[in-house]
Amino acid sequence: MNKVPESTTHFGFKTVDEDKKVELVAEVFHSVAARYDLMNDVLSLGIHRLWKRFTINCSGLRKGQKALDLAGGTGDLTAKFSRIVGPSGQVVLADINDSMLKVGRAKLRNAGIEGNVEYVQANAEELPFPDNYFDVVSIAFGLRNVTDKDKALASIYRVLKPGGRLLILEFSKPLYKPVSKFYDFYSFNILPKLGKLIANDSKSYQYLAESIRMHPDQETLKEMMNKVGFENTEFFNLSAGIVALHRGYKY
Amino acid sequence: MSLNDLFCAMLETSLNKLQQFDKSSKVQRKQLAENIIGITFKEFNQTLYFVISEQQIDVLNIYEGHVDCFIQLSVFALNDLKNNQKLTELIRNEQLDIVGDIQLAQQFAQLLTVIDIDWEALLADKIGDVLAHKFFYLINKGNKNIKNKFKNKKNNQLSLLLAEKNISPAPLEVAFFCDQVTEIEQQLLDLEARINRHRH
Ligand SMILES: C[S@@+](CC[C@H](N)C(=O)[O-])C[C@H]1O[C@@H](n2cnc3c(N)ncnc32)[C@H](O)[C@@H]1O
Repeated sequence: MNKVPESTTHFGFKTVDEDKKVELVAEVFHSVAARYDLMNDVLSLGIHRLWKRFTINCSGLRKGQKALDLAGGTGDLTAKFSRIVGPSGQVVLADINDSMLKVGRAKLRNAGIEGNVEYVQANAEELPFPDNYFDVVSIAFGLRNVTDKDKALASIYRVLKPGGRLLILEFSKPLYKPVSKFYDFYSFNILPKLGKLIANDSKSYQYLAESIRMHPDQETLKEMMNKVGFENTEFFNLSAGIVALHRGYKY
Repeated sequence: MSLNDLFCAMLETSLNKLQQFDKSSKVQRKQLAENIIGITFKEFNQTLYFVISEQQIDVLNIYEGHVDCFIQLSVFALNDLKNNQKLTELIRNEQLDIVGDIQLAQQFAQLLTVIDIDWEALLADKIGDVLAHKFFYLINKGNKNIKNKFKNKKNNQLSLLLAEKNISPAPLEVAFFCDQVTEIEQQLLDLEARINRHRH
């Protein structure tokens, strides 16, 4: 009989060692970093911009505050955060992957965003920031890639100020059967092909489709947030639940 | 997520596209940077928040912090906002309500409405100089014709409204139409009478 290693986790549908997952995820994002933004637009038909906009509207972020855009990748949320908090505020773009950080930094500098943004390579599970530091933490399409989600949630809770908010934007469980059927077809048949066509990388997008399936559904994630201490936790289904925004407060 | 988000997204995109074409707008934005302006348009009953930065204007539909200036107005008054003389008139007519820095409101209106774009140069980039020139020559000519038509109207800035009026019939036209209907009615009655007469 095969011995099951003590700590295993899902990499998409393949079960792998936890150490290895970090490496594999890194590989995926190294290989898509350069074409990441274009792929986002094509694969979501541009709708990811509306999901992110909704997230910003729910953030309650104000002038002068501090925000952390965790797993921020190419920095879509960071750009908006930076303009909202202004020069008296601060935004940290943190990502585990330095290729994504580099693409993000180049993109934001190009757009004239400078001064109040810092770039930090960090693992969501062990955030290198002081306790009670941020007013808002966002993690958009990042949590599903994190190996130990409970640990990441606890780490986020620690760095949030009392009164601060966590926003999790992530693929979730579609509300209706037909949507879910169409969505399955799209993500397993069309998505990897498009990935091959545009980024010449079907494996990474196969991973994307599989990692979405393994991610906890709306209620489960809400429970996970409550468990580490978040209060007034709620979620909003976007695009019929294909994506959900979870919001929780630390008091 | 609602239609509101979509509306904000479209508004923000088109606003910033226009701003990009106008080279002077960056300087104006720099002066207004870090200001957040809330506007409630009477027609929509919805407040939008405009976050101004050197890079662009961001449009939010929720903002929980302090707003530097809060404006309540009718869409049609936006253009008059930058005109000092009209301001009191607008407020008196209840078309406008400002809480906060009035000057800021005016500068913002200026930023939104005085957009100085060299359309001809822009179009020339796309379709070539000769065609672009021809196109704008025709447009200007058309424009002049329209302007001549409305010369005697007091305020030709409002040509939009006038054009609208032009679509809906003028009172004389309505009267004329009614006359025609009456006439046809009469003719029908006559015809009916004649047919009846032939029957007997
Ligand atoms: C799909 S991208 C999302 C990027 C961006 N937030 C967006 O919405 O466009 C996911 C990002 O999560 C990062 N990531 C994966 N695991 C992470 C971890 N444990 N800690 C921090 N970032 C992580 C990846 O490097 C990648 O940049």
